[in-house]
Amino acid sequence: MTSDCVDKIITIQGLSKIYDGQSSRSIEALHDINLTVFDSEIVCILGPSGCGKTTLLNIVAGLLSATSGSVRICEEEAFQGNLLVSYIQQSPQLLPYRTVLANAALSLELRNELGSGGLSKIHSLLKFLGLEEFSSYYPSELSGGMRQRVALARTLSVKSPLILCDEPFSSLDFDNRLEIEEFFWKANKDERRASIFVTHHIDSAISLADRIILMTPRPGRILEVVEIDESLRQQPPLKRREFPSFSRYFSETWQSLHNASGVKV
Amino acid sequence: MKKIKLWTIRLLPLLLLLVVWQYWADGSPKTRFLFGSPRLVFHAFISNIANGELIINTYVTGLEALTGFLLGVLIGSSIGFGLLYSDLLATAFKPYVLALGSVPVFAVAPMLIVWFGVGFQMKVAMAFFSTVLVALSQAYEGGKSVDSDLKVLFLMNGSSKRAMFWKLVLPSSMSWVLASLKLNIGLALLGAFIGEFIASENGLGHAILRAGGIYDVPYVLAGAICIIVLAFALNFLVSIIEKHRRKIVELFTVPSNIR
Repeated sequence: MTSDCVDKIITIQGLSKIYDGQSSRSIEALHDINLTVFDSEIVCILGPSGCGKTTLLNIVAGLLSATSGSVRICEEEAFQGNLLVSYIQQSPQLLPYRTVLANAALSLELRNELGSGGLSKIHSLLKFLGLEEFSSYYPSELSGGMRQRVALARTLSVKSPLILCDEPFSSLDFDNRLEIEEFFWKANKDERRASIFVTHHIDSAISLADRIILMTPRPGRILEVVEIDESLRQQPPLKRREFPSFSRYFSETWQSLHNASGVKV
Repeated sequence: MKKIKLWTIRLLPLLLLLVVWQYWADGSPKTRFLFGSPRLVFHAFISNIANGELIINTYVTGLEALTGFLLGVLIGSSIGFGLLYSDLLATAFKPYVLALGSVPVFAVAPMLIVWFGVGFQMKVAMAFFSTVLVALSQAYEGGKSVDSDLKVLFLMNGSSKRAMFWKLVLPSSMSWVLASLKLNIGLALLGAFIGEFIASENGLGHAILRAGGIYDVPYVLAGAICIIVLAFALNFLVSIIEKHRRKIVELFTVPSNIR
């Protein structure tokens, strides 16, 4: 990490994105988004589908350019191939011709950081994710949950201070999701990483987040910022679910989202 | 047990054909002249293997086909993959590749004789031109079919173009390249064979044409058997590559400490 990157990891100011559609129909996906994410903070983004969550992540990742406004990562403009960023998507994106080990090591390999230190990191990640004995398996031989674990190992293996997550665990069954979220949270806090975590599961958001950003339907604006209180924030995801405030956050969040989308609850 | 049954089922029609053929040929000299007989073909095959003639001719044809095949696949695939990196060239070349692909290589054989003479080189050129365009378009299409999300994954990790090619584009196109190998091994053999048919001093095409000229039907059929054996052998080489594709990809694209 660079020295100017100890506190504010991302600063997003006045970000808007308009897609130029065909026959002069342009679609505004994001409207005036302002957001700052600090180190070791997990910010979850909740919102109806089509509200521009993925667009936001893609702009931060440098895969898309903003129509107006700025995105700075560690005081630098966002750009594609920024090694300060690690990105995990809904589908695991594994190479079918590589083993679990070689897939998990891909990010470090491409960043030329696959020394002995990098390799032992991969091994310990695989061990923590319960994949150690599967390291010579190919993706086609794994279940969906295991594939996503491999993708998570690959994402967490790098030193990037920022992790972008686009509904990475949404396709997993409930048990798997809880387990992998627990691991994700601990790994993030241990290494003081920041992450933006897009999800449509309200319970995931409350159990992972330090802050939850609720977004409106298209064009996506920030509807409300829910700060998780200190006592809950200290707890890992599974513990949080036992707190009474968990269900309070849940119903409030649900209410807000439904009011915004015009559905009476 | 199952295997014995399988082979019995497979060999039965051949056996039946041979018996009927032999019986028919024994009864009529005219049939024997027009179709040979299993015994005569077998005799022609064995005696010309023994005197080395068919072995040398098979070797010559095989070497021509294999050399042309390797050159065609290597150069064609390289150009195909190269075109992935220039949309301008790819757009410009596309109609020409299609046009050239529709020209049977035999149509330009006389020109190849002018260029290379009637020897080994001309047959290699025939096999080369039979295979190069297929290899080119298969490699290009294979490279085009690479998952764009995986490309994004590579780009997000700051991958160089070189790493992206060796670790993503090439391994992902393996099934396209293998399809091109399977198709091209047959085309290369055909190209070399027809080349020998048109003008040559040796090779199976030459031997078969000459035998036909003196009404030696058993020799023609013995030559045909050699072609079948050759085709099997060449296909076997490709099937070895196919069988070990995963290991081959791994050996060339994955660093040794995580293999």
